[in-house]
Amino acid sequence: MASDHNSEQVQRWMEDVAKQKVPQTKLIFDRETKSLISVPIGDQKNGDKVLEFTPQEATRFASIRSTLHLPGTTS
Amino acid sequence: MVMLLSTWSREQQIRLAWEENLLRAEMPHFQFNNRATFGNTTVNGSYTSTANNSYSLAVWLKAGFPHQAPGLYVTSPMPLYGHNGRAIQSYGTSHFMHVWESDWNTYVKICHWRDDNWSASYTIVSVIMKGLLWLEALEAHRRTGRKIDSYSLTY
Repeated sequence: MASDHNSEQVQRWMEDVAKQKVPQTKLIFDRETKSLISVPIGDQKNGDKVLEFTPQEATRFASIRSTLHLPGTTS
Repeated sequence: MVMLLSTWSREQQIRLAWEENLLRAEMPHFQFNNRATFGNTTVNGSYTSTANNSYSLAVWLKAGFPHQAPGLYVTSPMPLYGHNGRAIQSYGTSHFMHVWESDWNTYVKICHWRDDNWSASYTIVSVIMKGLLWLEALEAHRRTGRKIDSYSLTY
């Protein structure tokens, strides 16, 4: 669900990261509502229903390739 | 000599299958299209922003995938407008707007990772995540007039 507050919080997160400040919130993508949401850093709710924006997410493939023996591991 | 292949290699097919499974788990509203068409497979889906505006995104997996970065495009709305009604397409390649000159149907082509920073370890889901951030940055740009690189696409 869209809200002005959430929109502002998402924008602030993106500004803070661009300025290399430590963000006060984290970004998650809620798979059920298909929406981007800013939540407090420590929020653990719906952990299995959301996709979190973390550096580890971008490189998920690298983290599992050794166990799955999948191609495409170098750039 | 350049060898042209007409089908995805076995390794590429394995990788595409893995990507499709990951996409189904993480972003099931995005779908693979032309899955068997070498160099012309796309992943398409829509996103409703936090300000409640709808967009369509497409990821184009070119022949060199995963070693070649896929293209990330906004396919709707077209044209795509920024601050003061200026079309994003009019910027061509712009570092400040995180866009490349379009190479597909004049769709806005988002710069997600520069080619020299791209790694075959990056997933299609992670490319789409950057697309969602770019769209949020676009809306902030429309409101404030600040360039899109004022907002981080890195997470």
